[in-house]
Amino acid sequence: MKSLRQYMINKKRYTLGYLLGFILILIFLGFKVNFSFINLYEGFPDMLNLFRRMFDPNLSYGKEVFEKLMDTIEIALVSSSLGTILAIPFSLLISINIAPSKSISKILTAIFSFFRTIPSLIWAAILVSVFGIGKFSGIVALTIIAFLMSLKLFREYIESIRENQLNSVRSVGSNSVQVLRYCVLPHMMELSISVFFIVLETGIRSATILGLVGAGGIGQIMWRDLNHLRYDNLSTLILILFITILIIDLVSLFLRSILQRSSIKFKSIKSYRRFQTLKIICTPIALLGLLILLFNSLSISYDRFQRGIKQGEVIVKRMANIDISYYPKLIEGIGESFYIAIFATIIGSIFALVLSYLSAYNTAPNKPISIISKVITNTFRTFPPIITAIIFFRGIGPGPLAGAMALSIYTTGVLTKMYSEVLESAKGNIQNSIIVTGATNFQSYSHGLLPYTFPTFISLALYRLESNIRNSTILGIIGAGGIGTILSMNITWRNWEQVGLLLLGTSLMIIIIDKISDYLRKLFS
Amino acid sequence: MLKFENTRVSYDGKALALDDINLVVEQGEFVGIIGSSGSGKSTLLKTINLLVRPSSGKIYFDGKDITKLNNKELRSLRRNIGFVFQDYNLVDRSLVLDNVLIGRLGYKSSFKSFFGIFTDEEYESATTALKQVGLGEKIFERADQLSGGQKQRVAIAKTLCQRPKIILADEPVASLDISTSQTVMDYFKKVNEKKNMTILINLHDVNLAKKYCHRIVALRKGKIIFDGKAGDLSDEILKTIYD
Repeated sequence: MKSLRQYMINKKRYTLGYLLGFILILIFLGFKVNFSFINLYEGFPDMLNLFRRMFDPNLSYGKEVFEKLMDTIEIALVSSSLGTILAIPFSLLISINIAPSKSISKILTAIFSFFRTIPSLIWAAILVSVFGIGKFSGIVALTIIAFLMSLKLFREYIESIRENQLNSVRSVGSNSVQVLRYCVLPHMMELSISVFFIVLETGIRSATILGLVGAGGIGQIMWRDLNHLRYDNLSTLILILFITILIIDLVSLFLRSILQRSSIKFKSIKSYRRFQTLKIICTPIALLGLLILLFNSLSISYDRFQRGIKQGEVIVKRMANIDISYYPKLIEGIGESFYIAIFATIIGSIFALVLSYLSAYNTAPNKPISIISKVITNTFRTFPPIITAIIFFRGIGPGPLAGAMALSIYTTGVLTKMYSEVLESAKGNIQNSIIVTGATNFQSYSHGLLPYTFPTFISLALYRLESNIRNSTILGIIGAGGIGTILSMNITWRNWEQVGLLLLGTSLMIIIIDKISDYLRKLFS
Repeated sequence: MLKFENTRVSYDGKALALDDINLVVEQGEFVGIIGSSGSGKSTLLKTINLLVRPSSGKIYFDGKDITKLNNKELRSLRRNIGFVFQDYNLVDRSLVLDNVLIGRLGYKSSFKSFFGIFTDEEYESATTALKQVGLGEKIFERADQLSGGQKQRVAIAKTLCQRPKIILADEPVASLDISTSQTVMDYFKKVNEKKNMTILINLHDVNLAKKYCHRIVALRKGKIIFDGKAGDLSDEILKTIYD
């Protein structure tokens, strides 16, 4: 009996201890990002005002916006398709279970994971210095990101092919080319289309902010309006962006679900063979045509391109020659980025936990509440955090708090969506086994579904942390705190030695956080 | 046609998965291999087409020592050996027909197979093979639309399409229910009887092995502890196998 009492007392103590520690951490983080309720409260009416203006858009402004919007969509489409296509051959090289050479695979993986730590906006800022202002730099920057993203997705798929599956094709006496063609490629075609759409959804969000560093698209006029304090135009812009991103997300969702269901029905060997011949002739032609079309839209003269390459060489050389003495600024910058990311992840997770309870169909008190909270969270995740930060500028002015709040909102949106999907896909038995004891709906959640899915939630939150760390490094470009501020300044000033150090430091921080998060994920699962 | 000579296999250099195997299989035999899990049944089959390489000893196939083959010879060896897996290992996203045609890859150049060029005869043999396992109707279905038993029959059709000299089946019915198992086993029996095909089959169900196989080989900790007619398998021997 004593041990049971001890257990009960200990449990109470632990719960209290955890809660206290948690609150202390929150207060510390809040202090680090200049959190202040008064600021938020006082700024709230101004932000509300911005929202109100959205419902009274400046329509005459629409024409100029439309042109830039088309540019933005073009950037997203071109870079997503280029990135996806380029990723296919590389994914065959780096996936460990089919890679022709293990060492090449390892070297490439290391290079690519370093590149992956640099956010699209930083790529764009550097490329603008190389190739000049305009959408070419934006397209190249987003292509790099799209390439790395699709590479990761393709690689995960290929590495999920079981050894036995490969063996079964090998066991008929086929060589490695045949294993690729008959075991790996059949699904790659279909997969690449859905990868394209996933990449596009990220791409369109990134494309809207490229203009902040002069890399083309709608961000350019947004930046101008912000600097001219034209909040009426800004609200129009934000409204249009909201609608565009929403439409692209919906189209992508729709097409992906159609693709999953559709398949061609053959009636005879003859029609099947005709289709095969057609496929073999048409696929390369279509691919070639697409590539030509894509390269055409890059719109850069060969001369300018060559000049850029030469300039790029100089820049890379200077970057490699890092300026160590600049490190105090680096520490200060990545420190702030780090705190913003942690703050946003924790705050976002807390809100997401509540909101996902309200929005998952199987846990929500009733359907209307579920639908309302789904709409709210989907609105949260529509905007890239950097744009949300601009909205916060209106209320609380530039600084880390605006960045932290913006990132928290984005995290809440994304995490709620992901976690409520987890809740919805959980088996009904888990809840039922609690309900049959006479418990309420909420109790069946808190004692059944929640403990059951909590490890998944932690793992999702850690993924968000990784993404937040990346996002928090770019918030500074518009002055929302973190390393982005000095990074973008040094890029503008062409201080490449300092930029080199800052990039290296940022990469190291991101890689370390990724490793820690990976370790924690394994610990919790 | 198949002969093991003092074959040893070790995965980690210490424990032996196969310990001094000596075994001769003649053309047309239907051999069932039984033993508890971890006894080396799978390893035994996988060494025959060198998915697993023996650490020492020799394996002769049609009088040739296969442990010394180069890559090209290995591929032509493998096309002579059909292999059926427990977990079917069909390419889920491809049609049943595509899966069966994979059986022909060993005979084709990289170029032709890359562009998916198959001859009339190859299409013919693929459809015939599918009809032989009773799946003539399913030829244009996607492989992931089939049930477990149907998938295994497609795997058998793929193997038939390969025109092998011997078929190795690694627990082909372990994931199937009793009646589907019988159906699949019946097809193996049919192939053995009609085409005089040599078949080596791993089974964990002793009753199935007794019912279908002429000869039974029992393994325990990588060693052969019984090799004889199905009828000679006594309860005492069975006890030692599964203890």
